[in-house]
Amino acid sequence: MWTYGGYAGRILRLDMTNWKSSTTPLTKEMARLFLGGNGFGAKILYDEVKPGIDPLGPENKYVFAAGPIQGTMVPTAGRSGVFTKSPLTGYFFDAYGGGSFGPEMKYAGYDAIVVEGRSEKPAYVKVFDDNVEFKDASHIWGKSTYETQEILRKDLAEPKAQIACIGPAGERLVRFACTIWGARAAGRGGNGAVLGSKRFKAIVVRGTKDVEVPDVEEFLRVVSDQYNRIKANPGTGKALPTLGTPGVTTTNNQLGILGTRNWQSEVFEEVEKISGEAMRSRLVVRDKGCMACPIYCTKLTYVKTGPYAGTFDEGPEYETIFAFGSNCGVASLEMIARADRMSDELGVDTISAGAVISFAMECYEKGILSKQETDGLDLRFGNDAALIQLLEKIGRREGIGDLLAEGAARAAAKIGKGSELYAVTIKGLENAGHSPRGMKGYCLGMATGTRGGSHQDARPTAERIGKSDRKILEGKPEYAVGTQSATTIQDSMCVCRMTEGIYGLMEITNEHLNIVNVVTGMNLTLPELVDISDRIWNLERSFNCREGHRREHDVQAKRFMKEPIPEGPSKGMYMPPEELEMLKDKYYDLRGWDKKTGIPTKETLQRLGLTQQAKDLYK
Amino acid sequence: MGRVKVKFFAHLRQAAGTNEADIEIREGETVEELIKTLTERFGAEFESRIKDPTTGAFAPFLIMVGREEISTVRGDLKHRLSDGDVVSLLEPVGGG
Ligand code: SF4
Repeated sequence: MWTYGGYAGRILRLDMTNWKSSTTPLTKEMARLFLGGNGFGAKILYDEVKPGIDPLGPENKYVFAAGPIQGTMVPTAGRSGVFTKSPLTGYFFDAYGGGSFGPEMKYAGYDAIVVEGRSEKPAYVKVFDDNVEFKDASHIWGKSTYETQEILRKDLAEPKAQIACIGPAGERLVRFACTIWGARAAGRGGNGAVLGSKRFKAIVVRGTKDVEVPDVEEFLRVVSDQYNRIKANPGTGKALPTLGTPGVTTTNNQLGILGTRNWQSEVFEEVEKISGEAMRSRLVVRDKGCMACPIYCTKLTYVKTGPYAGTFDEGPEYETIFAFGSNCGVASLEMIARADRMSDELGVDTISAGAVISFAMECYEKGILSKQETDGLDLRFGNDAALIQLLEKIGRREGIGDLLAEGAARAAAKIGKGSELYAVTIKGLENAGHSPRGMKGYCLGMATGTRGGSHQDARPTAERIGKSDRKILEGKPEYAVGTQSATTIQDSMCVCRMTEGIYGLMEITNEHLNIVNVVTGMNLTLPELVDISDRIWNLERSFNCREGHRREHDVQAKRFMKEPIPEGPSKGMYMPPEELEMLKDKYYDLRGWDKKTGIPTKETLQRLGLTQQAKDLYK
Repeated sequence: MGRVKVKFFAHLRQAAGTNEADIEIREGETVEELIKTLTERFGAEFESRIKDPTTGAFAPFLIMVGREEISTVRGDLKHRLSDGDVVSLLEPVGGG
């Protein structure tokens, strides 16, 4: 038996077709080469999911995975990820959530849980340590994510169990449905629809095992040192505890990079009404932290008056404020809190849900969608009541909601009439709340990223806070590679993105290395850790290339390559296609990818030990 | 002599207790000197939100003078202010 610290050493497999479970050992090689999280997800999916299969068919798989640190007291180790072939993008997709689902999975003795096949009837799975049971879920099918968790927790009399589940949106295969545990979402990419397609309503996990590290004293020293630096850092010690992620709303607006009215503008004139500052003074009732996290960035809110009175919400986060607020032209934080709560209960990603609504609003205002086609909803920007009604319709696939539940890109392809320009998507994924036009490095990193319209592959932070000049092209291929490498390793460790200022914004550092080594005892060197990041990134890329992804798919949303920002401090900024192509040339060189095709070269794959991928991609 | 308007964003507003302040400047005063004036005026809590107290180093964030963006870690903090300038202190934060 091999002995790296941190790992549970087993992978659980749930065959939904036959209601059977099995376990396989986590090999030492897999731990050493792929570390955890996205590495495990990408390895399992590449090996086991054939190219070309329907993401919503029984051949697709869905993986819950943690890394070695989950279950320890490393700051933000409450996080874990889910991995699948996305029904929105058709590519590999990873999404992460805080809370404490990942640690509980480790305590039950599993580094990953793989969901396979399709159940004939709705099912949920109970995993209490080694005891795995498949159960009929007819009584909770159709229930919201919160109701589902309440019912299961009560029925099973296990108050400490962690429950991951889908809501009505996942059951109805809304392409941006998510997985919820507690009130945290593994939000993006449509993983909830994949579970829905398997008729997998929920998993209840309870564990009593330990997660061990090789040298407890040294572990405590390294972790308390990091803890102290998190507390002293103005970002993690002050900004995030005070306002959480909503603090960035006014900053982005001041820079002229806050997506507004479906990105027609990037300045929202009513920003003060939806700011983190306004949220703190009007709605916040308590601060909350995920397991093992000293930052406490989560804000619990309560709406006391007005049409949304009585709404109790965990959040909203910045992304949700952008998605339902400025980008839909709505200046009501109270409505945003309601829409956030509804999204969690329905089980939809707030970013994509907000984006398909802003897409529909622009189509409506431009006369592409008539009032008859919107089921009588007056979808003008800023109409908060209509937004709430439309969100419910999308989550349940009713009326126009059925079309929009396909995501903005597919909806635009069906609607036609030039609406494609208003579908602000990258690789089929709706753009998150950071401006590719206003941050050149981030823009390139998104275009070349695994996930497309996500702010979690390349990062906007270093450009937003001025570590890198957001307006210039120089150094941006390096910026894209550097931030992607840092996020890739963070996602294999499954630490929260809020710690990126501690770990390193633009590269892999000794901070990553020290934590990995002190938990696992692998004694990796920094270049070896960088290789792990590159291996995972190239494996994700190989998965996508095997699905047909090529250089021409590494592009930005049409709007961002065509229309300059029309007003404000970033007026005139955009990413003309020829500029992007020039940056891509250099980026591919740095990555060791073929400039013509965008596929990793044989040499790159072989250097990283991805020999099977080299065979598959160079037949 | 002259005056500048300083605008605070995000949690810097709480620490300063105001969204903006009118500050008197000397002839040729720099951004760095203005920040020193602000930390003297608004105290240790304000300072801990823009500098790491253990290292004394500036947190990375952007200071806008009009529309010009000055980075605390890369930019020209010796930039000279003029009468009537609007100086915005944006949020120092990772994540989001
Ligand atoms: S920083 Fe916030 S989201 Fe991240 S682990 Fe801590 S409380 Fe959770």
